[in-house]
Amino acid sequence: MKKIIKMTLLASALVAATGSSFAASKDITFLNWVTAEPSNKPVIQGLIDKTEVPVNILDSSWGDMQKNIYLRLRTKQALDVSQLQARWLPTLGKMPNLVDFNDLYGKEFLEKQIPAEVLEAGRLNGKQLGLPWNTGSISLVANKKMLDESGISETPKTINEFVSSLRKVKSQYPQSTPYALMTKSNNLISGDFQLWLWAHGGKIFDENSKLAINSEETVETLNFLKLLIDQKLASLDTDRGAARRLFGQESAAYYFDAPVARGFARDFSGKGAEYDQYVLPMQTPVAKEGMTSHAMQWGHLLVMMKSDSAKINGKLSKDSPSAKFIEGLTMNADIQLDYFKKSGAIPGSLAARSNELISKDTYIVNWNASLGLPKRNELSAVKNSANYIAVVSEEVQSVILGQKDAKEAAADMESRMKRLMK
Amino acid sequence: MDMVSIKDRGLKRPKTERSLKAGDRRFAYLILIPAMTAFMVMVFYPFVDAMSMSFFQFTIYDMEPIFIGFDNFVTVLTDPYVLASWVTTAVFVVGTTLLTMTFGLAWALLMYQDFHGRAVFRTMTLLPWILPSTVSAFVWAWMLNGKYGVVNAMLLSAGIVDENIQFLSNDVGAMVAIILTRTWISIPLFMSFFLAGLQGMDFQQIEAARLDGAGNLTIVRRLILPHLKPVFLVTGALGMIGNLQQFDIIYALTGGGPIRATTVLSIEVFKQAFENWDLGMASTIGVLWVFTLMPLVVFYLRSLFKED
Repeated sequence: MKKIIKMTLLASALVAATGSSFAASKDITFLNWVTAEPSNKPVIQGLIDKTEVPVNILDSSWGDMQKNIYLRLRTKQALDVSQLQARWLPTLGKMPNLVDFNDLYGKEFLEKQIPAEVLEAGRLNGKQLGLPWNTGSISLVANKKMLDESGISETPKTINEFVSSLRKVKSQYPQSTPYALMTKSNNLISGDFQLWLWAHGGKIFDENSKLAINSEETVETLNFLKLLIDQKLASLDTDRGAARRLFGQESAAYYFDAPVARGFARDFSGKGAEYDQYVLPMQTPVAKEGMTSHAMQWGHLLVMMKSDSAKINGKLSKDSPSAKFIEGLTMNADIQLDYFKKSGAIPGSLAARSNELISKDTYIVNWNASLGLPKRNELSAVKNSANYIAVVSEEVQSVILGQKDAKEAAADMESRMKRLMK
Repeated sequence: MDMVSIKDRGLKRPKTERSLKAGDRRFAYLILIPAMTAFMVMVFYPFVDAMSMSFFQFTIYDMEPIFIGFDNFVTVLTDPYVLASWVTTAVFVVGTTLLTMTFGLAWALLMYQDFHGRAVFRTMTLLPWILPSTVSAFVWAWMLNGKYGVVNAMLLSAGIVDENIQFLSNDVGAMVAIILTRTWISIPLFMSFFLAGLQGMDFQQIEAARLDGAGNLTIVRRLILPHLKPVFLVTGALGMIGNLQQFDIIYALTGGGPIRATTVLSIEVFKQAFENWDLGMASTIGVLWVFTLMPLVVFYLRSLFKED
């Protein structure tokens, strides 16, 4: 009996010792959230195949992405290349082992491939830590079919016109959520709040990075959001995924999204490219005519770790598998245009952007015209930004759920942020 | 302690213990090694590590932990939003434990009765407990969904409401949802405890009480509840400990929201660690959470040893 147990223990130890060698692989490990959506999987696999680099694709939901990157790096698990939301860079850019692409490809080479303003999205403290995979903005999109049937011939320019158009949609589609305001997930709530805060002429920080959140504009914004919920022009429990479905199924006439909105409308309407005519990018309405409309800068980056896949003979090399893979996805016009055709993601490289496929696409032309003056998410570059995002989101929710009045919430946003700044 | 009492009572030590050969003893230690190693690696080391981490600042911005003494504890204990998590946890733990015990006992009494198909019912009762809790939580989340949920569809079609209710988007609804879901999952386990307790009862006592004219309520109050008192104590302690540790159901259903309405301690630790990237603060709340659990654990262990 003793012998059997001893042998079992010995065998277990041998299996444990050799198990890790079976798990080893020469493929580069690419973590992303795009392939977490099943319909995107073959699209991305097709792009990856074109790079001719063997890749092990790991996907994570968008909501868990930051956590998974953080855990993989801190626990020293394999991770060679990762997708990143551009606004996460100030936080995740602090992680060790990120490659500076200026050192890898050379600054001049990069500037010949990608426009400077696009490269800017991946720059942090003078280093090029991310390369833009696709770019764009978070802008308002309207469902033209719903607007037409509700008797709305022109997109609203002011917030009052916007509210009035929502009432018309509600009257035409009583079961609809006329505007799919983000009311779920801290990141999404704080994003929509900022867009409407800018539309009311407000901001979170002033030019000297001092808090400007406890303002009349914040109170107006919060009251506006509460009015939308109270009058059932927007609804609770809505995130971007729900908004995309509602929009495609003609149950929401407006929502904020990136240029990929068209791709989702194609999928969720079930009508494919035929539905493109109804996806209408528009400028965010403003409090008073003549005010500047703002969209929010948005983009996906690829970052690269200083892992073995980034090196040749122990040194970082632009000929390494990781570098070849990133170069293919971010600078190869053929691959980028293929991605654009399949998903509507606007490419970052000069060669792809100057292609007629992009420059003559009506949707993209309309999208670019809708931007107004794009602004960076004000909370993205703040140290411990998640805490600030949570504060904004919680105070917005407390107003729309009727737990606080707008003035109290604006004051609480300020006091809680001041506490975080200490 | 035991040895002294044996000696005091003039009893002989068991022969087998004294005659354990040295080789056997070594072998006994050898087969203890895997369990001890697992305990040290999986429980003891992480606990000590978390304890020490609570005295450090260790965020995503810090390459190495920075010693800051009791600063994290001061921050936690002076932040009304974090302190509110203790109140939220208490509401969840007390609500869930009471409901589970009530329904668990009621269901056990029902399953104790002799009726046709009892074995099938008893087996089916175990289903919520067998299902992975995250799966159950997602099923409940879809059932209670404010747009597509089956609960709303039923209420609408029955004419009870004329528009969808956003169950998970208001603070009371969200708290009720997590309590009900956890209760639903836990009833089978509690029922099993109570059923085991009931099966140890002297049935003749109940028969005698009935002959004396006692009704169902009197029998439950005067006979069954006193008989089940030890079971109540153990299941109560176990239930409260389990509910204090609860994470997956709450995270899958509400993520701690809306606002912070369902942010119990486990969710608060998760948010600090993986949303705010502050491992020092997460460890501090974790340590305080352990101290919150400690009296219950001590009570439970004492109850167990008393039984022995």
